[in-house]
Formats: sequence, C-alpha cells, structure tokens
Amino acid sequence: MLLLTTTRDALLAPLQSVAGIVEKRHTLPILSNVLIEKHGDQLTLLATDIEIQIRTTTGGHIGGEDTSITVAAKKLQDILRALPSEGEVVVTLDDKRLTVKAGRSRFALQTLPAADYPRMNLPDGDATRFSISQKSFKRQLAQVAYAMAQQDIRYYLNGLLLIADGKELRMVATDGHRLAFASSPLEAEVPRTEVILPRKTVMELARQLADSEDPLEVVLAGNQVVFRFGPIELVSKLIDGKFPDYERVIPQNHQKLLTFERTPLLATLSRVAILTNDKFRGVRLVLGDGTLKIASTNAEQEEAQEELEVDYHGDPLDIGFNVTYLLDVLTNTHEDQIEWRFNDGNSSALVTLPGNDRFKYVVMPMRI
Amino acid sequence: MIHPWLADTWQRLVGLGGRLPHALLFVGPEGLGKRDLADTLAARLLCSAPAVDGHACGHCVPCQLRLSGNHPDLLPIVPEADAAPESEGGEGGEGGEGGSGKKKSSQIRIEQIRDLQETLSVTGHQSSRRVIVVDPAEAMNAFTANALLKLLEEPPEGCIFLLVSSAPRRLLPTIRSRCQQWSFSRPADDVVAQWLLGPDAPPADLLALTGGMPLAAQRLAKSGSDALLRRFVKDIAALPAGDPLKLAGQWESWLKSKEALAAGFGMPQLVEWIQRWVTDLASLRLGGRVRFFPGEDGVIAALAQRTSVAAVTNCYNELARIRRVVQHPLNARLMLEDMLLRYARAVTGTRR
Repeated sequence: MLLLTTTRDALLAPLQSVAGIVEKRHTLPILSNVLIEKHGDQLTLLATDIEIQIRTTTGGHIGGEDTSITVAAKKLQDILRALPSEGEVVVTLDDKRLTVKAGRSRFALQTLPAADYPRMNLPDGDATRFSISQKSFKRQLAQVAYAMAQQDIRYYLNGLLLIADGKELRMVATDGHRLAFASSPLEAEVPRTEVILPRKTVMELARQLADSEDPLEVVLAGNQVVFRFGPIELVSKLIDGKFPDYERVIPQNHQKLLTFERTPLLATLSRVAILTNDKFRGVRLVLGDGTLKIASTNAEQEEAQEELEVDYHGDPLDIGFNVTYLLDVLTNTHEDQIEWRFNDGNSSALVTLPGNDRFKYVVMPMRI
Repeated sequence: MIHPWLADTWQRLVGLGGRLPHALLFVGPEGLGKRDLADTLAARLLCSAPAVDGHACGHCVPCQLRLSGNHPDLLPIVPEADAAPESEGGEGGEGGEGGSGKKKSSQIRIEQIRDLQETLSVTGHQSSRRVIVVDPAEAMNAFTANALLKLLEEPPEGCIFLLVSSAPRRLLPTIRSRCQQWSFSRPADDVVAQWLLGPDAPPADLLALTGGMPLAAQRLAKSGSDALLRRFVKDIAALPAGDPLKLAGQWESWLKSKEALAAGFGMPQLVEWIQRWVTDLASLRLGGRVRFFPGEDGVIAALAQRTSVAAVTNCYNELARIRRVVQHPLNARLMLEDMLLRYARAVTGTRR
C-alpha cells in the first residue's frame, strides 16, 4: 500500500534530525530502526537510544494511507542521501517490506512492527513548564557544557544540572576540578525544580537548537524532561543522583581582582601551553605590580615564558593552573573583558564577566 | 512459565508483594528451571497489571515489549556464548558473518557490568522499576563480580537484581551475602511423576541420568541424546573385555560425529556420564543403590562384583580431578585414553 509520495529532501531532513542518536550497536536490535508514523497529512519520525527519544512531525504529506512501521534508520538515510535531490520518492509498504522508489531505483527494506518499539511514556501530571528562546538556551548551554565530566565514576557529574527557580534558569556543570555556572532570566515564575541532564542529551541539544529567537518549551517532570522546538520533540531520561552543592564551591570574598582582555590572554596561554607537561598541563602565573608572568616547563626541561602588562596593583601572587581549564573558559565566553579573582596560591580562582553575575567559573589551582 | 515443582516457591515470591528484596539469588542444581522462575518473576515485576495468580498479563505495553524482546528495563546479563543465537538472527552487518571467528566468551565480561552501571545511572524507561537477570552468576570472575557488588550495595531506585547460580560456592561471599538466597533442591518424586505423564516429558532413564532434574532431562531428550546414551552404556559395559585404547579412538571420532555435534554432546558431558557411571558402581559396591543408571543395574552389579572398594573409589577421585580440567583445550584422545585406562584398571583389577 502507498505510504507517501514526496521529494528526497522533505524526507531526508527530518530523518537526519532524528537518526543522529541511533546507535550502531545495541542490545535491542529494534533500536537501530526508526519509527515512521503516517497519520492524515502528518508524518512522524521517531528514534531513540533508550536514553533520549527524538520525534519530528512534518505536515503536508497528502495521499497515502495511515500506518506505522519501523525500518533501519541508517540504511534508509544512506539510501535517501545517495538519491538525486530532484525527482519524486515513492514509499510503499507491502507484506512487511518497505519499498523506496525513485526514478529507476528501487529499494526493499525489512521492517519490524511498530508495536514492538520501546517508546518513552510522556510524563503526565505534575510538571514544571517554561519557555525560553532557543538562542538564549543554546548560548547558556555552551557557557557551561565543556565543564561536564566524561565517564566519571561519580556518574552524577557526567551531566549538567538544570535548575528552574522562580524567574531564573540556572545551569551548572563540574568535573571536580572546575565548575561552570550560568543563569538566565525566565519570563514566568516557576516552582523550584532540579534535574541532571545526561551528557548525551546536552550534546544533542547543542547540535539541534537553532540560533534564533524561536521558543523552546521545556517540561521537567518526575524522571523525564521534554524539549519542544520547531518540529522536534526531544524526550530525555535524567541522571538519578544528587549533584554536589555548587553554591558552597563558588568563592565569595576574593580580594585580588584582575581585569584583562580575553583575546590577548587566550593567545598567550595557547602559546605557553605548547611546552606544558602532557599529563598535568600545568602553567605558572606570577602576578606582580602591573605585570602578569606566565610560564611553563615540561618533563624535558624545556621552558616557555611570556609577560603581559595588566591592570593590577595588589599583593604579589604565585599560582599554578591546568592550562586546559583556562583555555576552555576563554574559548567558550565571548565578552572582551573578563574579571579574575584570587585569594592566595592555594585557593580556587573565580572567573566572571564585568558587571554581570550571570556567569561564574571556578577553577582549582594546582601545585607546581 | 512456572514448573509444577516450583509452584510453592512462586506463591511465596508473589506473596512477598512489595516486600520483595532488591537482590535475590536463586541457587540449585542445573535443570530445575531457576532461570524460568527468574524470567517469570521479571515479567511480573515489569507488567503493569499482573493477573491474580501473580503472572504477567501478556497484553499491556510493557508485556508486549518484553515478549518481542525489546523491553529497555529488562536487562539480562548473560555470557556472550549464551546470548549468541539471538543476535546472529538479527541481520545487522559485521556481527553475523563471523561464524568461524573468535570463540564467544563463556564468562560475563566486566564491560557488561560497566554498561549496566551506565544504563542504571539514568532513570527508567517505562517506570523506575528495572529488573536485572544475571545468569549464570558464577560466570562472573572476581573483577566483574566486584563491579556488580557496587550496584548491589547501593542499588539505584526501583532496581531488582535476580541472580541465578548452579554453583553458588564459586560466587564471591560478598555477592552471596548481599542477596537473599532461595535454594532449590531435587523436586519431590510424586510431583515429577505427575509431570512425566504430561506432553513432551523425557523418558525415565534420561531423568535418572540427570539425577532427577526434569528440565535437564527434557533438554537431553529434545537433543536426541537417548541414542547417545544407549551407545555409551553398550560401550562402557563391554569395556572390561575390550581394549580401552581402541575404545578411546572410537570415542574420539564419536565426539566429532555429526549426531554428537547436533546433540551438543561433547567432552564435558561424556566425562560427566563416565563419572556418574562410576558413582553408581561405587555406590553399589559400598552397599548403596544405583541412582543414575537404574536400567543397567544388572550390568553394574556384575561389574561391582569384580572391583574392590579401594579401586573404584580411587577411580572416582581420579575422574573428579579430570572433570576439573574438562573445559581446557586438551588433547581429546589422550584424555579419553587416560580416563578409560583408569576405569579399566578399576574394573578388571589388572595393571595394563
């Protein structure tokens, strides 16, 4: 029976947005499939890797019968990609085989029944909902996402803490050595809700969200979170754990303040980073009256040193950092001026943006 | 499915209701249906509306997913070798063709537990209830078991672990102590007698051979092992008059023959049969009764007449030692010759 008649791109675009999460090897064979649902003129594609589920709905597919079926996502994507972009694509379903016809090509694919596909139950009942622009959410994600841990045994660090509280949305990520915090205002007031988004969800959101003012609707409910934007609905499971108390980590009364231009410091640090020890990546910062000396040595006794003129007139300070953590924050913020606060050589440093308490980055020093 | 001899246990498990502990260890000899019990319990735990008798309904969404093998919250942890047949059926590219490739591991690898940890760190799919079935639990080596231990000690919310083992003494004591143990023993004769009347029941001699383990016997009957058993009995009964080295040669080619391969009959099983045969011999010699080969008690009695207690118990001990290395890739011919010579020495009382 006829499923739909369409163009290549009208089918490929939504397929590509869901198929990104399909894993090649999985214990459940059906998860390499994508669920195709045709209802009226609506075509819904759904894929999941058990942790995340992405669904897109596109309209305007007139003709064809209502049905639902699953078919190998990767193969369908490869076929569509290899077809010429002009011309008609006809998809039919006969005797449990999905046939894709375009021009003189014909492909018959195996299917599995839609009822066997493990869809996530959408949360119902109590939920915290809010809406925010895609651009703002994406920017906020980028401000903290790099600080997430990767495959840490403390599994709750392999994710991003999302807190909706009153008229504020906060995000926190840490790997135990540095912590990034960002907040943004919300239009409507919401009850305080905390969730930890898995790393994969954060990466997928960063990939899929657009740099536009279009709204992103977020629903935080029990053990799931739903993101709706454009034609896409992304449902994710949450990390089941207790995130460390980030407020205690952010230092309050650091006296020594250093204000600097972001780009020159970034350039200096990346130069000095060349001769750091591969394993520890330590750089030494010596702050004196009006100067900042940055130095590094490696295991082969090679040395790099550079001096910057800075606007600083406090006590001298000698402190070491992992240069990766400094480069991360400098590459992921976009303001020209950055403030850096210290206490002494053994306590953490705080990076903020001038006149703005919506971004904070805490980095622990290292002994060199 | 619950076998009749497990019905009482099932009632007790169902009766526990919400007081079910987070980790259960089913312990008992192989071929009793422990895994079936674990699977049935897992189905009940995942079903959204279990029936009055405690079984899963089979119609609700979770049941449907489970029956099609796609329930994300049912996490079986089994050795690669046991899971192989299913994954090869799904045509997914590289995996399927490599039939002649590396031998599948018969151990539960630590990566499986690490993946499990990762899976369990996020919330559940249908609800927070997740069921992990580990079978056989003794297939975990010390490292794997310690990784699982971490999960057993601090189980994520809603997780229930069902461990199945037929050799619980090979488990780490720390694993055992963190599970509630449910032991099973040989089912009562009258229950099994009732079951034997039913359809596809195995013949009585196979049941005896497996020591009264109904499912093990059924498996043997299904794989067509009764013909193999007849040949085994014929050969071994005739051995005192024959040449053990010649028989070892015959058995070596027998193990490689088509019917043996089709029945999954290999060295481990053959050694087990010889061991059971000698057990019967020793038991009869010591004034006991024939347990594994009741049909052959005449032959065994005649052999027992010719042996001494010392010779037959000695032979038994030697076989037990051989059995320990039966999984090792040793030369089959030498192993068979060794066993048969020892056996011949015991039953003929001569040095050869």
